[in-house]
Amino acid sequence: MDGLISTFHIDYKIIIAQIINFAIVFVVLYIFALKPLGKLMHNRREEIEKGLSYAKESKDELIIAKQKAEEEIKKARIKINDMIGEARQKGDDMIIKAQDIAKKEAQKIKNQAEKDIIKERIEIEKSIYQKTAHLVALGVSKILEEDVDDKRNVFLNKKAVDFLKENQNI
Amino acid sequence: MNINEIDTIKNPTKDVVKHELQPHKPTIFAETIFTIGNFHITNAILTSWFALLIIITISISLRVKLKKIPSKFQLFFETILDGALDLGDQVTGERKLTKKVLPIALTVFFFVLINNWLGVFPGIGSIGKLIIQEGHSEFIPFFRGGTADINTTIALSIFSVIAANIFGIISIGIWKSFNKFINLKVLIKMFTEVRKDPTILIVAPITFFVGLIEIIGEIAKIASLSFRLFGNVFAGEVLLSAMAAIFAFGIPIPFLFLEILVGGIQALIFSILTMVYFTIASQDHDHDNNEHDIQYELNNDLLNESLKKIEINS
Repeated sequence: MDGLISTFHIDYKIIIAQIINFAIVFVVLYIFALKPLGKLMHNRREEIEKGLSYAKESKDELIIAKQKAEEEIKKARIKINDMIGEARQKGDDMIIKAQDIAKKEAQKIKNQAEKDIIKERIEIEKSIYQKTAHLVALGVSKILEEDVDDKRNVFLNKKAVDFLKENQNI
Repeated sequence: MNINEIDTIKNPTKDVVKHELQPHKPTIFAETIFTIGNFHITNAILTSWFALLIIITISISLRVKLKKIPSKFQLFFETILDGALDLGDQVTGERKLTKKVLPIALTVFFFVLINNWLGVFPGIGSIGKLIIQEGHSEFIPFFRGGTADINTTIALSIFSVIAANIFGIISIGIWKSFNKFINLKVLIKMFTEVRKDPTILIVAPITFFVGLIEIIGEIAKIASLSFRLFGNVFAGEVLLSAMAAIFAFGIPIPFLFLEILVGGIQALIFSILTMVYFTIASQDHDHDNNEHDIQYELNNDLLNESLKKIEINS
């Protein structure tokens, strides 16, 4: 042992000094480098993990939101289709109603017009008869070359009218 | 022209000129540069102080420049720390233990690494003074690789082994740690469990003796750690000086690279072994023994049941 100590110059004082030296290195390295660096890395890792989990949650939420949106769009489409169908139905009903009303109105107008036509026709016929009768009376008076008094005139007119009525279809 | 000759030319004295200059041969021990009282300040201690200064400077600059978004300097150390944590996990088996052990292992790594590399740094071992002793001049370098001195490696080994044992005491308790070396527990068992298991009369003394061997094992740890590191580094220095003696230019370069590699590997080995010692010290041997006991009891129960079945059948 003594030989070993003398050969290698083993000195307990130097050993103690080097242990102290190393202890100082340990304390300095731990306090100034390893501890703060480890803490920083740990915090950063936590933040990254939080961010990742948050991103995952957001992704899941996005998927759910997309699904919800699709469902809502589907519902809205169904609703819109229903509404369009309803509107079409209402439109058709309204058209039919309007057509009915128009038809009725047209029928009414037509009936009125027919009535008016008939009335006018009767009046025209009446006036034609009267004028024709007057012309007949004038013609007869000319033929006879005599004055036809009022009594005779009425009589002739009446006769002419009756004749016309009888021969209406000729 | 080597440094000795330069030194001689710069400081020409009558005595020096008279004597023939011998090329510097690395000594197996560190040389004393000056003394403070009875304490010899060796060139290895000076280099260790220099290493200490480097580590302090780097640590403080790292602390000052520490940012959330890392700079290249910070990123370099973060990468080392991250890699060390992963490597530590492989040694300890669990991250919790790695985090406890890693500060010491990393300190060992950096301290040994810087000391090793300082040994091959230009100027270390080649700048010094000439001393005339017994008729011939002797070159004493001002600096010598810190780990090329056995005192440094012994100091590191003692620190590692003692710290590992203290860690063991903190982890598993003083009684269990004590029983690892002086196994009183097994001696007590020898008397209490002799009826249940008579083989304990043979096993217990052996286990007790194994505990005593563990004490020698702890001393062996110190010896193996210190001599391995010292041997490698000192051999490297001898190799480099031998190569430089053959031809000063060119030839030593590959060996310098080799020494840089060896310095890194030795630092890694020392730190990993430190971690291994810490891990072993923190493990409870009784826990394993209890598991063996449980297995033994289970086996016995199964055996008894089988015997009962055979009896019933017969």
